[in-house]
Amino acid sequence: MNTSLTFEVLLYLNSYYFGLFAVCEIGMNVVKYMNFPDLKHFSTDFGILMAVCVIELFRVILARKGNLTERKWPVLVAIFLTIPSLAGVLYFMIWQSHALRFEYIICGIQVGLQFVEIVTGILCLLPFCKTPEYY
Amino acid sequence: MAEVHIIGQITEAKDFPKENLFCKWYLQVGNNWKVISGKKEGQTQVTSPQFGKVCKWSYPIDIHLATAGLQGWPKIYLQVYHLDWLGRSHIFGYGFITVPTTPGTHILDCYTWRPFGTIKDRFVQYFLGGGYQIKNPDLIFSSGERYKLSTEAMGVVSFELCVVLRNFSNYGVEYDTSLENVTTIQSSETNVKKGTTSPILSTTAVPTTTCKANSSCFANSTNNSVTVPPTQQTTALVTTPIPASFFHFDIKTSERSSKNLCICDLTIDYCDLNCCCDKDCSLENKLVFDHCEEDFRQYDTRYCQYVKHIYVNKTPHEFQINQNGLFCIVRSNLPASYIVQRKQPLKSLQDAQFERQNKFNWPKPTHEDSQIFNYFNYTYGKPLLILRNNTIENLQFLKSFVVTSCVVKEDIKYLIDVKSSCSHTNISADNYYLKADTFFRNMTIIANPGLLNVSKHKNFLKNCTKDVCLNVRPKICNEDFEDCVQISPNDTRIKSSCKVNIANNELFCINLVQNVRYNFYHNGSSGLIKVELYLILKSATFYYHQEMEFSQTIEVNFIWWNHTLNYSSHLSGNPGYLVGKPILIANIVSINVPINNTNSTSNATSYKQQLQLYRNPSDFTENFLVLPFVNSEGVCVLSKHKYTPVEFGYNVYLRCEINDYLWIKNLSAKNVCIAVQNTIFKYWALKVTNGTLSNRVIALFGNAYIYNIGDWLRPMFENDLKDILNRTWGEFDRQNKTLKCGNITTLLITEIFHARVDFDDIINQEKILATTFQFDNFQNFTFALNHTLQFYIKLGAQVMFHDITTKKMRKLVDPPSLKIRLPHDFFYPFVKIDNHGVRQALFMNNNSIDRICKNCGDIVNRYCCRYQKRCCEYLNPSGCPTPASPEARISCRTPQFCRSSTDCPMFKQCCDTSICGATCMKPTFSGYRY
Repeated sequence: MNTSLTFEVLLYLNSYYFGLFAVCEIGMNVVKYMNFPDLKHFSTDFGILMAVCVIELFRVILARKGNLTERKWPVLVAIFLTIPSLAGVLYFMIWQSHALRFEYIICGIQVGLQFVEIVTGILCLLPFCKTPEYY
Repeated sequence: MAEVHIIGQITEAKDFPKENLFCKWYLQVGNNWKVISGKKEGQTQVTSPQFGKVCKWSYPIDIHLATAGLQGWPKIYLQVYHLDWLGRSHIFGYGFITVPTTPGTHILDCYTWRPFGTIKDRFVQYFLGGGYQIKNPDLIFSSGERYKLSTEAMGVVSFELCVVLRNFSNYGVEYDTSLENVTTIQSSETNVKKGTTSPILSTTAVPTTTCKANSSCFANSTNNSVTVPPTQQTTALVTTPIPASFFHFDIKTSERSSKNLCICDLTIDYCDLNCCCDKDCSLENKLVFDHCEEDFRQYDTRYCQYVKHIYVNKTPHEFQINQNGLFCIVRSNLPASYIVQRKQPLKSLQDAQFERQNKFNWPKPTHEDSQIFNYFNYTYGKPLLILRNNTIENLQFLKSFVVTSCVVKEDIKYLIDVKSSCSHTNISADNYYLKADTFFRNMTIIANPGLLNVSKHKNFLKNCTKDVCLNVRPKICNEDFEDCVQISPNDTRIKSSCKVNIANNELFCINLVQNVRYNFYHNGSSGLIKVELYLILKSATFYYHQEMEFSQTIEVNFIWWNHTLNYSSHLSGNPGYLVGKPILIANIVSINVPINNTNSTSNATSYKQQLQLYRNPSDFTENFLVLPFVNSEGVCVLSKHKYTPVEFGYNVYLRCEINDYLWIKNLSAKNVCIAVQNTIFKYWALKVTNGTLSNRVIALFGNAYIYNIGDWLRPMFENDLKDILNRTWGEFDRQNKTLKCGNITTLLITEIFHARVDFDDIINQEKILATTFQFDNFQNFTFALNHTLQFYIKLGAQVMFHDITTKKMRKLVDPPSLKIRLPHDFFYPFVKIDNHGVRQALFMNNNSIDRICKNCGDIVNRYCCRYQKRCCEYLNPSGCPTPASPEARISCRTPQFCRSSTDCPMFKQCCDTSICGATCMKPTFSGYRY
C-alpha cells in the first residue's frame, strides 16, 4: 500500500473538510451566542475553536509539505500537532456548554479523519527513514 | 549556402490545467544544416499569471541557420513543465512545430500532449504529482511504435516567428515573392482555420404568403394556421361540423401586442363612455367624456425606467417613469427569453378533473340513510342512537346559538359530556321539548349498534332485547337533584299542562321540564350498560305582556361502569396547576395512632396524636376551593351540589345575598352576631371549628399527594378569625324589637400567589406559593327580631391570582467540597473552646430561622423578614437582606408606621396619617365571572 498516497489523499480531503468544519463551527458558535443565554464558558469555547482552527491549518500544510517533499520533520511535527487538534475537537463533542447534533456529526467525522491521519502519517514516516531511492 | 533566419518569440502558454509553467525548447535540424549563430535550445522562466490562466513568457528566439538542402527543415520541440508550491516540477506537455517554410511573420500554435497512464497512475499523479515522462526526447518525433504511447491533450503554446529566407533561389527553390509580407495563421493541426468566414446560408423556411389578384391569400407556411376564407365568398352560411383541429389556433394568433390594447374598450364598433383609448370614439365624442377610465395595465415596476400610459386632458400620453429607488433595475442583460405559462386550453375532461384536485369544491350531499345503518360499535364522538317508534334516530338536544333561545339541534355524541342551557320562547303544553315524555317515553337507547343483529331477524327493531335497547328510567328530582323519586314511565302525574287565565292575562303551566340529566354508564368499547334520567319539573306563570321565556338545561354525563365518584382522585394538573382547573384543598385532622409498645407487657395500647390530611372523596367542596353559587335570583347557595369552584388563573368577583335564619333563644346579643358572622363564614366555605382558623391546607401543585404534608401549604389570614369574631358587637333594641350587629365582615378577598417553576425536565409548571385570605367591608346591620332572626346580607367574594414568577437564573452547582473532620483542638490543642460556641454552630446548621424571626428588629443569623423591614423602618433602619418564610411574614404583617402606601403590607391599603389604613386603590378585576 502506498502510504504516502493514502496520507496525501486524507490530507487533501481534510484540507477541504477543514474549511467546512471551521465555517460551520464558527457559525454555530455565533448562533449559540445569540440564542442561548445560559452559555457559561462561551469565551473558552470560542478560544478553543480558534486555537483548533489555527493548529489544524498549520498541521495540514505541514503534513502535505512533508509528505510531498518526502521530508520527515514536517510530518513528525504535523503528527504531534494532531494531538492538540484532536483534543480540541473532542472538547467540542463532549465538554463544551451545548453540543448541537450537527456539531456532533461534523466533529465525529473530523475525529475519524484525524485518527486515520495519525496512523497513516506514522506509517508513511517509516519508509522515509530508509535511504531514498534515485533513478 | 541558403540561409534561414528564425526570429521571434515564444509568446504564451494557454489552456493548461494549472499555471506556474515554464518550457524547455530545442531546435531540431537535419544533418546538412548548420547553426551559424544563436542558441539552439533554451528554457523560459516560470510564469504565474495574476489574472487569467494564460502564462506569458515572451521568450525571444533568434537563430541563423545555413543549409545545403531542404531535408531536415528546422523543427522546434518543447517540453512544458509545471512548478508546484513545493518547488517540484512536473511534466505538463510535449509538442513540436515545424518552422514555416514561407518567409514572413507567422503565429503558430503548438498543441501539446502528455503521456497518459492507467487510472491508478493518474490517481497518484493527481495527489502526489509526477507521472510518466519520456525518457528519450527523440520519441516526440520518432516514427517508432507510437501506438503504444497513449497521450492526453494539454495546453497550447503560441509562437510568433519571423522567417527570413536567403539564397534559396540560387539552389532552385522558388517561392512566390507576392507572399512576402503577408501574415498567415498556421497551425500544426490539420484543421486549418481560415481567416474568412463564409456566410451561413439560412436554411430556415420563411413563411411566405402569396396573394393573388382575386384577393385570395394562402399562407404558405407548414404549420397549421387558420386559413381565412375570403369574406366575399361566404354569402351562404353552411353549417358543417367543425373539425376539432380547427380550434388548434396558432400561438401567434392569440398573442397581441400590449401597446395597442385598450382595456376599457368593451364594445366593438361602439364608443365606450369615458374610454379615451377606444378607437371608435371620435375626437368630438371625447368632448362628452368627464374623465378617462383608469388604465389598469400592470407595469413591471422593478425597472428604473418604464413607460406608462396616462391620459391627460383626454389625450393619451406616454410618461417615462423614472424611479430613484436604489434597488430598481437599471439594465438587465438577460438573454432572449420567453414566458412559459398556461394558455393552452385543456384538451380533455380528464385534464379538467386532474386540475380540479385540491381546489375548492362544493361538498357532495351525503346520504343520511347510510349513517343509520352503520352498525359498528360506538367510538368516541359517534352519535348515540335511539329507537323511537321503530325507527333509529340520533339522540339530540337543543342548543342556543348566538342568542339564548333554543335554535340548534345537536347530536349527543358518545363519551362527550354536555352541559348546555337555552331558553324556549314557545311556551305551551304542546311544546315537544317542554314535555317530560319526550325524554324517555316510547324510546329505548341502543347500547351498542354492533349488537343489533340485522341479518338474523328481519324484525330486529321490534324484537330488540333489553340489554341491547336500554330502557330509560326517569327520576323526578328537586332543584338540587336531590331527593329523586323513581316514577313509572306511564305515570300521568308528570304530564305537563297549561292553563290560560284571560282575566290576569297570564299563562300558568305545570310540569315543564327545567333540567334534564342523562347519566350514561358505559364500559368503553362494549357500549352503554345503563341509562339514568333525572328530570326537574317546574311550574311557572307567564304573562302575555311580557316576553315568555323558559330556560332549560340539559346535562349528559358519561360515566364508566363500576365507577364511583371520587373527587379526591381528581387532579388539577400534573404536576403544575393547569389554567381553569380547581384548586385542591385538604383538611388537617389529628388522629390517634396506636403505638406498638413492645416493651410494655400490658395489653393497653397507647395512642399518639398525629396530624394527617383528609379529603372527603364524595364532597366536591371538601376537595376543592369553592365559593358560593349565585343562582338566578342573586342568592348565595352553597351545598354539596351547588358551588362555584375557584378555577386556577381566573380572577373572580362575585356578589350575592344570603337569606338565612337563626334560632336566637337564650343567646346574648354578641353571641347572636357571632353566629351571624359564622354563618357568613360558612357561605365562604370557611369552616370555623372552636373559634379558630379552619385546618385547611392548599395544594402547592395540581397533583399534591394526600399523604405528603410537604405538598400542602397553610393559607395565610390577615386577621385571625377569632379576632374578627371578637370584634363583632351586638345590641338588642327591645323597643323596636331589633338587633344591631356591628363589625360584620362581608367581603372575602382571596389572593393566590403562583409562579412557574421548573422540575427536572418539565418546565413552566404552575405552583401556588401563597394563599392569603383577607376580610373587608366591615358593616353594621340592624335586623328585625322575632323568634328567629331572619337576615339578608349582601356578601362579596373576590379571588385574585398574582403571578410572581421571577426571572430564572441558572446557578452552577458548587464544586464538590471535601469535608474533613478534625478534632476541634487539632490546631489549637491547648486552647479550650467552650460548649456555647459549638451549640451556636449547630443551631445555624439547623436552619430554623423562621421560628425565631418574629418581632420587629429581630435579626437572627443575618436574616430577617422583608415585611419587618417595612414596618420597622424607623425603628431599625438597618437592612434586612433576605426574605424569610411566609409564616414570618404574617407575624410582621401588622404595620406600625408608614410614609407611603408601599410601606403597607398590601398595596390596596393606604398610608393614612402614618398608619396603614383599610382601603385605598380599588383593585381592578379581570375575572370573567360576575
